[in-house]
Amino acid sequence: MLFNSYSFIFFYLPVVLLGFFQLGRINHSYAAAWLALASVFFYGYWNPAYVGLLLLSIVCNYAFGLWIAKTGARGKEKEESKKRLLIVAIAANLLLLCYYKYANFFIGSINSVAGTQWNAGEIILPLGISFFTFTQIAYLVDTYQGKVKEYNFIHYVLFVTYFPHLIAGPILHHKEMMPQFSRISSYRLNWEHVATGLMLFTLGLCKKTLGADALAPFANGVFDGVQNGILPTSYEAWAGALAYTLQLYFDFSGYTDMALGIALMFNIRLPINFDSPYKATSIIDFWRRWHMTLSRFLRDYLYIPLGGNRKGIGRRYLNLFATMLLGGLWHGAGWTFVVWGALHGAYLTANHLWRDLVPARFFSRVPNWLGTLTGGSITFAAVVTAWVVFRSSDMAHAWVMLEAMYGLHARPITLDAVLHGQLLLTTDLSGRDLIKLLALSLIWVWLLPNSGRLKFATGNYFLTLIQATIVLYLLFLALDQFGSYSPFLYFQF
Amino acid sequence: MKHARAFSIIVLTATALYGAAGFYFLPLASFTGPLTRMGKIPESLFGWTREQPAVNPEHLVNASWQEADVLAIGDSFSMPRLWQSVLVERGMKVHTETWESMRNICEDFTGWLDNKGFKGSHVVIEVVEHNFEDRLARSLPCKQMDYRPLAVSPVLPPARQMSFNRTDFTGKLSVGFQVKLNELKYQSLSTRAEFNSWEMGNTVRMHRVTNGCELFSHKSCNDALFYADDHTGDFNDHTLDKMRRLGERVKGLTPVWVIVPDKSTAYLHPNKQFWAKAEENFYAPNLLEAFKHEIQNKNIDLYPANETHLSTAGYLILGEAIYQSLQK
Repeated sequence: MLFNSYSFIFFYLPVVLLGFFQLGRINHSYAAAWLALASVFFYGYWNPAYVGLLLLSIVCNYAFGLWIAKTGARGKEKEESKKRLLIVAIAANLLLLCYYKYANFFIGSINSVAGTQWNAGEIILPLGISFFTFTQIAYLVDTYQGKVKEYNFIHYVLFVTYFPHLIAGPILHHKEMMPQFSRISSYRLNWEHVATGLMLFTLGLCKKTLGADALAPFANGVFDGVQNGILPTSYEAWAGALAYTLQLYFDFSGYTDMALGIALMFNIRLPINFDSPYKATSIIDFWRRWHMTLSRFLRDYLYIPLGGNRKGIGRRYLNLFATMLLGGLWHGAGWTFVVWGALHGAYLTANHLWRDLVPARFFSRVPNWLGTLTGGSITFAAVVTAWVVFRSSDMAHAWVMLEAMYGLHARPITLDAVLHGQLLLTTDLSGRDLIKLLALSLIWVWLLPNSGRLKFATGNYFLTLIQATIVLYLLFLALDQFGSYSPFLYFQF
Repeated sequence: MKHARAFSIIVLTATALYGAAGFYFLPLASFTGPLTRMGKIPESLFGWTREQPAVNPEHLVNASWQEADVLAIGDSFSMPRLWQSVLVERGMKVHTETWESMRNICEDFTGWLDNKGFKGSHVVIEVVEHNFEDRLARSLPCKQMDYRPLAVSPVLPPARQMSFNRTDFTGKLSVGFQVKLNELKYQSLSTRAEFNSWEMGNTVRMHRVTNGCELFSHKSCNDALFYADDHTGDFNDHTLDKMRRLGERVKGLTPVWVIVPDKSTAYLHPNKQFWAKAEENFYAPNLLEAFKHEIQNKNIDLYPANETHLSTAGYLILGEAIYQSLQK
């Protein structure tokens, strides 16, 4: 079920909300069970075939968690067997993920190198498998480290399946969710949470329907044109790359805003996932702002266990690079994702090297605004460049786009022709419309405050009425874009 | 808390009411024809009811470049491959390409066509009237072919009867409201004795048609929908000159010009002279005359009321006219 669908907004959400708070009056365990059941239904609505897999994964990980915890309680001599259990459990999770997500990729890669004809058959990727697998690996590691304090099964099912985050994150941490599910106040209607949740949900819906969905035809037009063998002009390649850069942000951050808003209506606070990432003034800064819960996961469960920065400078950069490479592979089974991860690994390494090697006093006379502008521009260009690789179907087509963007090999065109309406040549869409959209979108991402700051303003009834009018108007605009199937981009990861 | 509560109740109640009303009217917004969809007027009033002839699916096949006798370059009137079925039924092999894939007929057209392996004798250039000048204007300055093949999907025979039982809840909620409002407005306008036409917006015009119920099968048969951007004037000698210049690019082959009259031309402005002049100068069937003849003979739904395109029966008449031209 999509957040941006009639069935979700007019049927599922009201029914689940009403059921949750009504049952919460009787017994909060009933309400938690109701929410867990509703979350499984939400997942199964898409493809019931994989509900079994999700539940099996939950039961097995819960059982492994209990086993690890109990092994740990028996004393220090059991440390080794506890570690073995953890390794087995993580390996089982990774095997499941590898089979569904990477089997065909690896087999295809081997076939192309060795000339073999192996075939794993058609494997359909279960929705959100990367998210629920990573969430549970984190739980297992936390259990191993003795950080898990609560083992209520219903709360655990809810922690994994909680529908606002199940399909596309944020990637949750056990310790930030379980206490919220245990709190009795979570099962009582809180109008301020409902109000702020409604505002966030509406904002996210607008980002998705008015932003991402409006930009999508332009991004698709240019990338599909290149895929069909058309050489773009430099202007067109940049326009397509920018359209995708902004589409992806509005799509994913819109989904996250909706998820945060819905969760808040149920009195659950999910961690924020975006902090205006395109305002970043360095790549290090970018990764503190983009898909923050994935960055946190990669740092805590990959970079640090690999040794982090504790084993010397060379190893630090190697760990950083490896973490980003695997982060790229997490997004999908394809070389473009690997290269995208490698690019960001290289960017981050370069950024850290720069900080380490060039002393800050060297730039003490450079005005702050100039430093911010320069850093921001370089960062944004680097990020857009990497998104081109991320979006392209293969490296050959990514290369065509990049060569065009940087003027190495592009279809020739004069600036005058571009200014006279020939921005887009690979598609019949209007270049003027794209420029308007890009301008508005860039103003949004560069100048407006982050949605995390949105909060219902209390004061008087007049202010209440103004807020209600604005939200209803935006909701009407967003709802009026419905009418075609428009899934979120991050569902495929 | 009381302000948050008031805010939430206002937003939730208004959204619920909007949803309830929207879903009540949304089934009205289940469209089949482009003009009912664009004009936002119920299909129950303007959807055709007369059964259309059957077409053999085997006659809708697209021949390859190499085996085709006839190359058809056309717009949406050629996409259902219905007029082509008349030729195929008589043993001809037709390869159809869209203007979207061909883009233009450029100076190197004949050589380019040779390279594609086309060995046929005729090139049918099909354009609807309101796009004709634009197509000519784009092609004439074009030096080099810029072919962009589109994905080819199988073409299925059209429905013989229109289904009025479709209940589609996937459209925009606001469209359901607009359709209901337009229906109410139409009911009010159509009862007025002086009612002649209604500019419905979104490039759709409703027009009262003399003897409409002898020409259309839809429920409100006195009135029909027309595309507001249909070509109103008549083409002049400059257009004929452009056709001649473009036709010269089709060297060694016979270009057949198929300019499909706009629906408005066929029903409301049937006295244009262009088609007669074109027939005198080129291989160009006089489609306006053929359609006028059908309308005078009360051929029901030649162009259905909800369509800018022809009905299946209309396409078969078009195919017959093209076939006759190819025999000349």
